[in-house]
Amino acid sequence: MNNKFLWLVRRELWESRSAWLAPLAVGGVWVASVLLGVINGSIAINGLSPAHLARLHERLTPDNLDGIASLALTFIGATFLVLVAATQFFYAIDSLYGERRDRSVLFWKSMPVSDRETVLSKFVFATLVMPVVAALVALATQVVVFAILSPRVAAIDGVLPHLWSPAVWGGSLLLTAYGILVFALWYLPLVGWYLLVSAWVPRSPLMFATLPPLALMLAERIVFGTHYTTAVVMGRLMTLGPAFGGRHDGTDVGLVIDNEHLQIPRTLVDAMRPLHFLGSPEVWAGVVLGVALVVAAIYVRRTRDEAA
Amino acid sequence: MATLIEARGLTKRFGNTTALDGVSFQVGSGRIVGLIGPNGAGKTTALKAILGLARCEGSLSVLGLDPYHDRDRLAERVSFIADVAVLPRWLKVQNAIDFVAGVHPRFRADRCQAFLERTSIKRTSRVRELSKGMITQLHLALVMAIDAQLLVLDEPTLGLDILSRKRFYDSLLSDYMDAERTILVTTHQVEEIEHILTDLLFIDRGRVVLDLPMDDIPAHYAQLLVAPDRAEAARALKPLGERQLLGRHVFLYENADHAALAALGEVRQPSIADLFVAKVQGGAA
Repeated sequence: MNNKFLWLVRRELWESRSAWLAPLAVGGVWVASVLLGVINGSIAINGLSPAHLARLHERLTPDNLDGIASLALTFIGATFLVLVAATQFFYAIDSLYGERRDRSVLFWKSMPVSDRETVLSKFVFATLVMPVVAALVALATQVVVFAILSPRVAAIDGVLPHLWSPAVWGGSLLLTAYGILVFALWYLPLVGWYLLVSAWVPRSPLMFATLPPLALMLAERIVFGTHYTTAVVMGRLMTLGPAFGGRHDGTDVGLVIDNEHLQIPRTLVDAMRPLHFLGSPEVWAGVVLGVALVVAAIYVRRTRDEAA
Repeated sequence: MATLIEARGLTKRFGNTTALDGVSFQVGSGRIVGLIGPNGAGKTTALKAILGLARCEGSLSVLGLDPYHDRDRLAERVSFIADVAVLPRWLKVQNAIDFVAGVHPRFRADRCQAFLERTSIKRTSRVRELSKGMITQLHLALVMAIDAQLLVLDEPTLGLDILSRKRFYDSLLSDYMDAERTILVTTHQVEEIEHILTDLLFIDRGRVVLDLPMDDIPAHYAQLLVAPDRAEAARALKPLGERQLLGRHVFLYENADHAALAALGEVRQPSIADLFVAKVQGGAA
């Protein structure tokens, strides 16, 4: 049973190569551009070039340096998060539609695999496997990028240890793990919606997934002149809700050096609000809705008559 | 002979059209049943009901289970090839074998490998790189390596050339079929499967119009070829159907007196195709 589920997930990896190809491509772009930057000396970490750092570093506290390193890691990691949101959308929207379009659903249904197992494998793939794969590639990218930067940074006295500080990397890993959890729970209703649309619609799942919410937002605006749906949908899509707190992006240490105003970031780890997030009704309402949508997707795949 | 499939009063409607209209039949184990009917006769609907993919009114039991309700339990013991070319095009041959081996407890990978070794299919190929005939061979290799009690084939050779079709049925007979297995097959190319069938099930406009073991055909049906001047006499014996062939009249009779027919002309055993035309279209063709 467990073994069977593993095969179903592996099947998704064979089919949806973008789950690992897309993160690898982004990692490749990171490594290539940093390498290029190091070669022609134009590299900057959060707007701070090594030359900058060399001028500033005696004015910066060890915390500041840790913060810069952390934010560099977070920045690299965040690009993968955005990527996963996109690949997850395209994956889930096609997962149950594609098998109907090429009629391979008739092959999959000839196997002793229930509709529940099939839909759940696709759900787990979208909500956990894709983010975890991206996180692993992100981690490798972070290591390689920092390794490329190390020789340059080593020229500045006392900075290199901050680049490889266990606290910085530990914090980054913690942030990644938290990010995967937040991502899975916060986007659960979206993935559920994509799966249901994918299982249900006769054609153009992309259109069916996006148009009804847009129509709803527009209708509310026209009929009531209000924007509640827009706020809910956009809040879900564009933010991670109550996952992080404090100053909205964790930049809270202002520093003025040489007439330059610098925001030295405090690490995002401090901004994590796991208890607040897990205690938020907004999160659990989304989870309940998401689970209901997944159950509906299972039902639709089960009862859909392929002959019709 | 144990009863494998028992259908009673199977009915299915899509809106105003009735796909199945009170269909009843039985299939015993060890049989190869040809489910034959014109397009839209309800064949596929009947197969989907047997596979538990569609819900029907009436009672239906497959291997003692209700196929729609117990589909997940039935799926291990029933295999099917529904239509051609439903193998996903991105799938690699080796991955297909690994996947089926991973999810199907009755699949024997070594048997599948043995079947594939007789073909020119490479393990590293993706389905999209294979010809239509090869895809069907691969699908058949996967399905034949499953130790299932019932195999359902819906137009398994549609769109294949005659060599591939012949190879398909030859493998099925020589490598798969035994007394423990049962095959239910639909096809339009009836003359090609005539020699492998043990039973005939004709279905037309949602109704069963013929349900007969192949061995019983000679006892019930006869074809008569007569010269034009004997045509009136032949018509008087109430044939099921009539057509003209190279200047002779061909009649098909059900439960007719053989001696009376022989007096008029040449009596033959009708082919499935002749029987089909007479039964389904009432000899109109």
